[in-house]
Amino acid sequence: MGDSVKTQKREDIKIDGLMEAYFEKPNRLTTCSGFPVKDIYTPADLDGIDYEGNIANAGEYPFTRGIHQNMYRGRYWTMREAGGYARAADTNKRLKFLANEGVSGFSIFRDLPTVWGIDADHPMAEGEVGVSGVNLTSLKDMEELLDGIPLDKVSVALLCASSLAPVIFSQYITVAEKRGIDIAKLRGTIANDPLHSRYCYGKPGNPIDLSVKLAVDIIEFCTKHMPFWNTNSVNAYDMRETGINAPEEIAFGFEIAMEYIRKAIERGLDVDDFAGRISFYFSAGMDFLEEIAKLRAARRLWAKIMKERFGAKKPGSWKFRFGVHTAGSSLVPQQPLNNIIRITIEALVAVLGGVQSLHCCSYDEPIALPSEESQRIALRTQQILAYETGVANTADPLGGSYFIENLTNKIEEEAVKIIKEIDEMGGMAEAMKKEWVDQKIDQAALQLQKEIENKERVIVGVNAFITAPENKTPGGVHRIPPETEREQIANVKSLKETRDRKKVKETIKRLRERAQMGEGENLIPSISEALKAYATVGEIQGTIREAYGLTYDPFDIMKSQY
Amino acid sequence: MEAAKKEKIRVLFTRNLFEGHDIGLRGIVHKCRESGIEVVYYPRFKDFNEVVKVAEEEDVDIVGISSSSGAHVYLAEGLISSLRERGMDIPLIMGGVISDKDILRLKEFGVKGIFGPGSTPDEVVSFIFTLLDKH
Repeated sequence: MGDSVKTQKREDIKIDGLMEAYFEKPNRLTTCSGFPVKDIYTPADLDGIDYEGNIANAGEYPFTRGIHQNMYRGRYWTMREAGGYARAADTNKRLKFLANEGVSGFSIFRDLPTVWGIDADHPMAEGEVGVSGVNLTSLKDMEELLDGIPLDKVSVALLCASSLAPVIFSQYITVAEKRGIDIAKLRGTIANDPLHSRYCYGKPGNPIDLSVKLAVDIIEFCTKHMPFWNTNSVNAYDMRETGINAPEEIAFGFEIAMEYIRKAIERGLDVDDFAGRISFYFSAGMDFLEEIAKLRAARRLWAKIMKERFGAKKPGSWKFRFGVHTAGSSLVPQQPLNNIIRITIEALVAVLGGVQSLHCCSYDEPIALPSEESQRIALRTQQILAYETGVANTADPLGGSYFIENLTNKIEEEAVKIIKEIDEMGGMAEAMKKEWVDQKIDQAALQLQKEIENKERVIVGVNAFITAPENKTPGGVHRIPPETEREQIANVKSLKETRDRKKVKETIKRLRERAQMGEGENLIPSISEALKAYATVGEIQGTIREAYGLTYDPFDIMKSQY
Repeated sequence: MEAAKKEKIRVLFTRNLFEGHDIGLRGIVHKCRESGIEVVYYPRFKDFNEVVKVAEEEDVDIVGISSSSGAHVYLAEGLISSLRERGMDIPLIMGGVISDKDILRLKEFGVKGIFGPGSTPDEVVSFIFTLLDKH
């Protein structure tokens, strides 16, 4: 394999290398997750599979082939590209750019201080404001972010999967209310998954129990007031990105979802009233066939869990609805244009796997936040798949393949085993508290590194087919304007001085009283009231924290002014 | 501190409280340990003084920071000045999603080694051995 940096002159040919390449063959005869793969699969590999019971047509239980009878013939998947950087106005510009290029939904990404629920002017936020997403300290930011965007017509995914999700969600619906839009018409998704976020956004600010209580507030609120809104996008994607394998992605994601479902039922909701609005966020990685089988296995297993374990009766409650984000961890900075090819393969995984909403990564992501140009290519990738290839014309075109059906079964069996193991520990929250999940992630990261080092896993440009490093990223590197942080801090300070302090005080007082009423009290309406008075994320989170016996500030630096 | 030669090189690896990414860092920690380097792994720090304190107490030879959120310039500036205030001359190395342009800036601040996208754990290990040989 040609793995040395080219130092020869162009006209030299290494004859040995050429011969070696001619006779080369695959050396890794397992899937990415380690399932052995045979020479060929035959009808014998489908023995014992009953089509009606195990596979079934698309739109029929257990939905192995898709959740809709005609899949994309009814409607394409939602084509999203995530936007979120610097100030709200910068992100607004990017969203409009994407809209004009043809996205069919938005996806908004927040910065890390927002995830933590601290204001831009908090001393701990320094260096992070607007850096890895948009800063959303107050309703004013959300208003600017959504300026000119018709909320009653578009589908928006809010990516803020932490215990601050209820505040970001409330910011969004409050903007809609202020514009006179009936919130029952809003369509979109909130990444309302604080359990996963402890592995992906750093150590969380709030304890698990309070985080889950707030997550359930969103589920309950939407169940009563917002029929088209997806209340949770349970994030198996970020878990997978840490290096765990396909069956673990399914098992961890489903166990996390089950925590929210159990709590929502404890709150008094009927499973059939809310399960139809639980959705998932899965990865699509480079092991093309395994990843397609994974999505099919997940669909079948989720249907069984909802029907058998939770006794859901409505078909809508059994359906595994999911968005895919192509695997960021598969992208490499070496020869970065090759990433466009990786993303294309992964996007095809998602479509052949029956995805509802797709986000393609941009080729420059290992180097920086995406530029306009790289995001346009990411979107074009989706459009080329949809309009040029014909893959959307029939449901589950790979269904019935001896190999795919066999692998779908194996992945499901393995996921069931892991789920059993987690159940025996007392569920995902317990497995997390015991740091069992941490150990799994650690093992996976080490194994991945070893496989790359010993070339068991070949990554083109990394451990094979290396070229001299490129001096420049093709298309240029997107940079956050350096004045962003300073300006946003000034904006927040000025807001705090100019808003009606009396109104802030009144609404914060009401929020505190509500929060003190205990877990069963839904806080969304009082959060929304406080937002209208321009109370900030830090003030709202702090008030709730205090009511739950915690320090106002997760860092214990700021004190409540109200 | 007694100048008695320690048997092994000791490195403190850590990252900012907000930092989510850690696959790269996990790989480096593992590789260093395999190569006979003693690693003090401090999962996350809240402020720079905390890093300085751990570095001092653990008597490390190098501090390594992993940063992929975009805050690397801020982190380098803050940490180096905190180390200097304390009169400590421990070399700082950094890795993560750091663009070429920022690598130059970090070098100006005095960051000794910078391992941007595409760097390997082996490169980090051999850099540490070379640096401390000279140091």
